[in-house]
Amino acid sequence: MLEVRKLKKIFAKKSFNEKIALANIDLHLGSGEFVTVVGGNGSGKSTLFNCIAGVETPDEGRIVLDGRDITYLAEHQRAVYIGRVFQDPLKGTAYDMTIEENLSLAYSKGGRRGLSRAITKADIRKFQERLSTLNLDLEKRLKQKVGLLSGGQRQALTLLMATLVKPKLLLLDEHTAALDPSTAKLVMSLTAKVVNEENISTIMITHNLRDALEFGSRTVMLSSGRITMDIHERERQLVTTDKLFEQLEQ
Amino acid sequence: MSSYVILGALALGLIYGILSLGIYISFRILNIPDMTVDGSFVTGAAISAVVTTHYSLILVIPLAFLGGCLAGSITAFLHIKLKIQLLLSGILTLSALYSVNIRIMEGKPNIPVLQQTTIFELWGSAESQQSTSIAVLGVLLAVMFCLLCFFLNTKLGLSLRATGNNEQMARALGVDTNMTKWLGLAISNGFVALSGAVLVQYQSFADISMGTGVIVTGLASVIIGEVILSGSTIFRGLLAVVLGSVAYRYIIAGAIQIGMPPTDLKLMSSLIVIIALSMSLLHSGGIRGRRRRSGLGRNGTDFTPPQ
Ligand SMILES: Nc1ncnc2c1ncn2[C@@H]1O[C@H](COP(=O)(O)OP(=O)(O)O)[C@@H](O)[C@H]1O
Ligand SMILES: [Mg+2]
Repeated sequence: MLEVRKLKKIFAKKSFNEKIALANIDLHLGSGEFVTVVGGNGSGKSTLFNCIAGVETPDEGRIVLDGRDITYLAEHQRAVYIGRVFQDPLKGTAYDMTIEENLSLAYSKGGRRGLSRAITKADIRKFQERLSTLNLDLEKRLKQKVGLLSGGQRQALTLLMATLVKPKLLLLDEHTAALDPSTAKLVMSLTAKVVNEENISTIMITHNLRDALEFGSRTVMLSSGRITMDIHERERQLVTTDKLFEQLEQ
Repeated sequence: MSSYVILGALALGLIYGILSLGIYISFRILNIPDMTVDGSFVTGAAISAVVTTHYSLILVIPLAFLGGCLAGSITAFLHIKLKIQLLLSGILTLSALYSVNIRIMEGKPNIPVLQQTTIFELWGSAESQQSTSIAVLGVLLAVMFCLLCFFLNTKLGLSLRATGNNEQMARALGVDTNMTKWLGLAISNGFVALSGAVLVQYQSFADISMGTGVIVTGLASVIIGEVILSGSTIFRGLLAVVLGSVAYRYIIAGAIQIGMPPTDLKLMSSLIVIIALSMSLLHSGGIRGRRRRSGLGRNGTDFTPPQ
């Protein structure tokens, strides 16, 4: 499904500030697999996502998605296959556009963005149906601007937008970190629901160690741009958050 | 005010309404400051004068629009492909356009088109000249307004708006933001050039310096419009711009009536924009308040070079 081979990313190469963000990453993700990623600040988690999503170009290595080498594919072109939710709720939606316009943008993924009407009656029905699964009453607020929504509502909407057209890969970068605990819990349960129902291959970066062990079936730890731990189902069940924390501190 | 002044201000308001729509596209929708317009306005004017003199009147509107699109495309190329800061890209194009515009005008700094029939003289008699002009201008503006309103509600139009609103999100959703920026700058300057072309038809001459400061004129109209009518939809937003343009002309006409010398116009336009921008700063909670909403820099990212 996703193969990251010998990935290397160096910032400010050959300068005094040279920073090896990714030293040598090998990561293989099976179809429908849900992996959680933990690691200290600056360990390279976001850089890994940025390389996979095409925001950054790696210095070495390959990224293959579903048999296709996407290492040098333009960000907007690979975006068709990749859904993303960021930490900052403001980053995932267009604040000055309405809920239905935001959804329409997401719904056009992979299709032609031509001179046809952006929002048809059929689209509206589809949007209402999908919004109602969030249980946030957003289906009644289609014509309101996204800027009026709370952080949690925006993050739930971003999650919906990232999966409206089923992506081959979903990348979640600490997408609940900026939310209050109860909203974070809600967004996390929505995440688990959509990922399981649609069987989407997912990588989730999180600082919440309990979430890291509870969700998905595999946990990867990053440290100084290297994978220092990679535990699967049974092995993972034996690990506690305390043990994970100890490992992180090393 | 005499009816001549009232109708004259209305006519100018409609002509500059097209300009203001163009400036709305770059400043408000794409959320980027484009300096090209001072030059592309004259490009439209020059094309208008030359085409009317030597060729067919029918070609004025499409050729002027295309000329503006080309000017905007050059700025877009400098910014997107050569990675030159947008503000500087616009200034470079603007400066180069001075020479290009003079060339289009066959080396002359101004061209009268008094002998030729203009688009306003195709219909109506000499007595009804001014009302005919206003009817023609009204129809032209309405057509451009509807086309733009339609476009901004298409899938492509939505991608363009998303690019200005949240570029990172647009790209994450698969929008080719380089393409949408280029498209936006091209269309924006197309509108601006068309406005210049129509002004030449209306006043029967083209002048190389007629574009100086139109960027501020357009901005003032956009801002005044936003005070008159707050826009929650694209239709209302565009309508506000047109109303702002007309209101702006009446403010000027009024100021001239009470004795302001016309040469102070540009000073006044700049002051209107400065006051309006500082007001929105106050509304958004002071200078250190939310930058997202303050005046032009609604994302606070206006003047950053492309990544
Ligand atoms: N655009 C950049 N330019 C320079 N250094 C960067 C850039 N992005 C990230 N880094 C550096 O790379 C390292 C990894 O960053 P990041 O991937 O954001 O870490 P994490 O998400 O795990 O906290 C950090 O030391 C960071 O300072
Ligand atoms: Mg990070």
